[in-house]
Amino acid sequence: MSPIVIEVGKQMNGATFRLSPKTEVLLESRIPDWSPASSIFVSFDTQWDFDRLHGPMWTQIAMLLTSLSEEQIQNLGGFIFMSPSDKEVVFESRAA
Amino acid sequence: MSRKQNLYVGRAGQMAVMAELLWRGWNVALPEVDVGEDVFVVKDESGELWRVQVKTATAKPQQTGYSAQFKVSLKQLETLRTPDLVYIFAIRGMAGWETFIVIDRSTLYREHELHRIGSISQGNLVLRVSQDDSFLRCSERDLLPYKGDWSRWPVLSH
Repeated sequence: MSPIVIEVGKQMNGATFRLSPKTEVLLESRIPDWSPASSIFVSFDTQWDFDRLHGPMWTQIAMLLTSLSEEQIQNLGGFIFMSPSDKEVVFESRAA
Repeated sequence: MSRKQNLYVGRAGQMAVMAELLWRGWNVALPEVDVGEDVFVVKDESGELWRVQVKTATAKPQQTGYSAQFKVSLKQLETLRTPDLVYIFAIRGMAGWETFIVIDRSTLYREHELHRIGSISQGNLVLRVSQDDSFLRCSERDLLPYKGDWSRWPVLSH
């Protein structure tokens, strides 16, 4: 099963996260009346990088964006965080 | 069209968009250096900010209606930022401004990813828009919902 793809945009004071268009279509087709947050911005007071985001935070962002539980996300194949311009995967948690 | 003429047309579109926003009661600002957005729109009371990229084209008459062509940087289209970018495509006819197409970056990106709107050339997404009395479209995708959609900036009274 293809994982949930979350696109990331890094900027000096944090990062923006958004479901990829294909993941949005997939979840719209599977979950009736699905109305997720369109994007999430995680802000830091100082300059930062993705290594300052720890394991549980990635999962929490995925849960917030999809409105799904951790178990539901894993049942769908897990998730990956990816930069849309260069396709670099910055974090992934795939279902076993 | 010469490069110099392009500069004049582009600036005219930017000014037309700024004029519309000011008329609607929203403050606007120009970045001193152009590095990706053309206009900042600011709500004075709250400090809310929108980043706007204006693209301008001159309408080319067709058998019915007209067409216009725009280029959008793919890198810019694919880049997520907060606040996100809003594109405004301004189409100028001989008699005046024909249309402003107002569309979020994320919506245009979705159209590109899911429906292959436009064509790719040298790192740009090329959008050829055609319009007559009954339609406004690009690559068979309906753009009418975005025509003159200034709803994110409703008219304010000061």
